[in-house]
Amino acid sequence: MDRRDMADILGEYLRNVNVYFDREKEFPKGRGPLKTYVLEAHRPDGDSLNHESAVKTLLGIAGAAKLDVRETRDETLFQLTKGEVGFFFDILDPRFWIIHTMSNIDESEELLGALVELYPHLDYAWPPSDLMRIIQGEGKALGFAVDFDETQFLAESESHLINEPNAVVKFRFGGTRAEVWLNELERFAPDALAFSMVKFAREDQVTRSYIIDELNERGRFKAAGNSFDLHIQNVSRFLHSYRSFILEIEDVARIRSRAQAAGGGLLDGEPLVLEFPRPLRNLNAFVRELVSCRAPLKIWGLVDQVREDYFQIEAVDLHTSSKLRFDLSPQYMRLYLGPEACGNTVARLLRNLQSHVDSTIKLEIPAENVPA
Amino acid sequence: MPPDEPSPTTGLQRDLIPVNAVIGFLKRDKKWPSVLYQLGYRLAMIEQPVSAAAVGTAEIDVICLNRKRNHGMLWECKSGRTIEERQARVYAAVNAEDVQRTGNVTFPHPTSASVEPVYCCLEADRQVIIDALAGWGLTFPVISLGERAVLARGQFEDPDATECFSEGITLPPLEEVPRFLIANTHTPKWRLAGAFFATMVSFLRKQSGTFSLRHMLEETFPDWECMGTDLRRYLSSVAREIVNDLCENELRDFARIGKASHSPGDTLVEFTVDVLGQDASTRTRTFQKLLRLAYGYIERSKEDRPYEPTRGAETLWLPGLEPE
Repeated sequence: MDRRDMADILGEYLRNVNVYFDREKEFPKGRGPLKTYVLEAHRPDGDSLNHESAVKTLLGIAGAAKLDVRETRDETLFQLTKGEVGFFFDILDPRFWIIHTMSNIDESEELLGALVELYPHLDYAWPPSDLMRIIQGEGKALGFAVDFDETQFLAESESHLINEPNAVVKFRFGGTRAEVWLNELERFAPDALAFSMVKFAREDQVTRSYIIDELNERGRFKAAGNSFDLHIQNVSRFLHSYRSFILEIEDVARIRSRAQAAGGGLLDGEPLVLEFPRPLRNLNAFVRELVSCRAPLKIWGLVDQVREDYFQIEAVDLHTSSKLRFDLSPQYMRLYLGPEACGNTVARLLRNLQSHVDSTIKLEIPAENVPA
Repeated sequence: MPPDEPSPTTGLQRDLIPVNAVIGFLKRDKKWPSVLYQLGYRLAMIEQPVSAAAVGTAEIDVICLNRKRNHGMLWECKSGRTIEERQARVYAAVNAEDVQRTGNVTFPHPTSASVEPVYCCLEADRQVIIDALAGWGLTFPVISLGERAVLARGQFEDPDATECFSEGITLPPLEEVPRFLIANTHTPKWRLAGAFFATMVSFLRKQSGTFSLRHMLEETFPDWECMGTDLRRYLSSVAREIVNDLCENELRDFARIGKASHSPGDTLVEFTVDVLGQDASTRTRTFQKLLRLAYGYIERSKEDRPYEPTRGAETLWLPGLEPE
C-alpha cells in the first residue's frame, strides 16, 4: 500500500456513493460519502511535532485506543482499524493530519472523538465562517447550513431568549440557488449566519471528472464524485488556507522576549482583539462558560473582576497546555498568547464566538501597515 | 519604594500603567491608540541599561526607534511620584552613540543619529515630575496619562510627535491598558499568586513531570528575558515562596518539591498525578477543582493567613461566576 493505492481505493469508492449527504444514515453500508478530517496534533509538552515524533505520537494514540496499525510503503501514511472502522492517516504534515475513511459516519466519528478525548493534544480544525465561504467560492455553491445558537453561552435563567428573533437560527439548504437564499438570509439575520457547512462542486471538463464536497465547521469533508484527485485538491487548498491562518496568528500574536547580552531585550508580538459588533448580553455568563474547562472551549482560567464590566483572566488552554491571558469587556476580548501558544486556540475561540455570540465577529490580525 | 496610592482595582497595579501604555503606543492594538507606531516608531528595547560616559548608567524603560528619521526616544515611565536626579542626569547625557554602543540598538545612520529622553507618568503625578525636572534645569518632554495622553511639558525633537501629543490623544479607561508587563519589584505576592498558579496548571497539563523555578518564571513573564537583575531576584524569591507553600498545602495531592540531581540547590517541582490518564469528565472535574484551589490560595495570600484544610474553597468563587 502506498499513496497511489490509497487514491485508487478511495477513487473507486467515491464513484459508488450517494450524493445526498444529509441522508447518509439511510444509506446501505458502503454507500455513504467519503469522509476526510483535518486534525491538529501536538506533543504532550505542547511543542510541535516533527516526522519522527508524529509517527511515535500516532502509534502511541493508536495503542492506547486499541486500534490496529499497518504501515505502508509511504512512511507518512498509515492504515488504522478497529472492528469495522478503518482510517487512512496521512501525517505528511506532522502538525496537521489528514484522515480519510469510508466507514460509517457515526462509528468513525465516535472513534475519532474518542481519540481526541483520549489524547487532548489532538484537536479538530476550527475554520472560521469566512474561510469556509472562501473555500466554497472556489467551486460552484450547492448548499449550506447555518447553525447559530446564542443561548449556549447564556445562563439557564435566560432561556427565554430562545424566543427572540435570531437568538437561535438553524437552516440547511441544498441546491444550485444557494447564493440567492443566502442573500435573503442576510436581510433577516445578518449577525447569525454562522456556517456549519458549505457544499460545493468542482469539475474538470477535459478529463470529465467532478467532485461534490461538503466542508463543516470542524474541518470535516464529505465527498462524492468520480475524482479523488479533485477531492484531495480541495482538502489541500483548505489545509493550506487553514495552516496559513494558524501560522499567521502564531507569528504575529505570540508575545515573547529575546534577551540581549548586555541586559535588556526585545519584546515581540501583539495582543489580538476580537470586537463584539453588539455588546455581550450577559458578560458574567459568558465568562463562566469561557473558563468552564469544558469542550468546546477547553479553557481553564482565573478571573479577576476589575470593574463591573471588565475582567482580566489568567488562563491555560487545556488543548495545548499553553498559557494565555484575556481582557474582556462587553465590547471586546483581548488575547495575549504566550511564546508557545497554539493558533488553534484562537481559531477554536473565534469559531465558537461566531456560532454563539455573533457570526460577524472577525479576527483582524495586525498587519504592518505603516512604514517604519 | 511602594507606589504612593494603592490601585483602586484588583487589575493591573497602578505603577505598571505608564510603561504598558508606552509599549501599547508602539503596538497595533485596536483598543489602545497606536500613536507612536503610526508616527513610524518601533519598539527597539525594553529595560535596557545604557551608560553615558562620566555620568553613569540608567535602565531605560522603553527605547523606540524611527528609522526614517534616524531618531530614537528613550522613555522613562514613572511608576509614582518619586523621581531620581541621578537617573534624570543620565537620561539627559545619553547620546545616540551611547545607545548604540551600550544599549545594542542599531541606527540606520549611526553618525547622524539622534535620541531624546521622554518622561511618562500618570496625570496625578505630573506636577511633581515637572517641578523636579524644572528644578534640575532639564527640559525633557513629559507625557501625562489620564483621560488623554497629553504633552504636559516641553517639546519633542520630532515635530510630528509634538503636534500629536499637544492635541492630546483620547485614551480608554487606564485599567484597560494592554498588559505586556505584569510585575515589578513592588508587586505583592498575592498579585503574583494567580499567575504562578496558572503556570503550574499549564505544566501539570503538559505532563511535564518536573519543572524548575526558572522554567516557571520564563513561562509566567513574557518579559523575563529582558528583566533587570533586581526584578529577577525579587520574582525568583516570591516564586520559590509560592511554590513551596502550594506544594505543602493546596497542591499537596498534585505536586511535591524535589531537588535537581545536577544542581541540588535548585528547586524542582515533581508532579505526583497523571491528569491525562483520567477519563474526560474526571479530568474536567480535576481542573475545576484546581480552579477552586487557586481562588482559595489567592484569597489566603491576600489576607496573609496560613492554610486551613477545612475551609471550603467552593465559597470563594466570584459572585455570579460560581459553577452551575
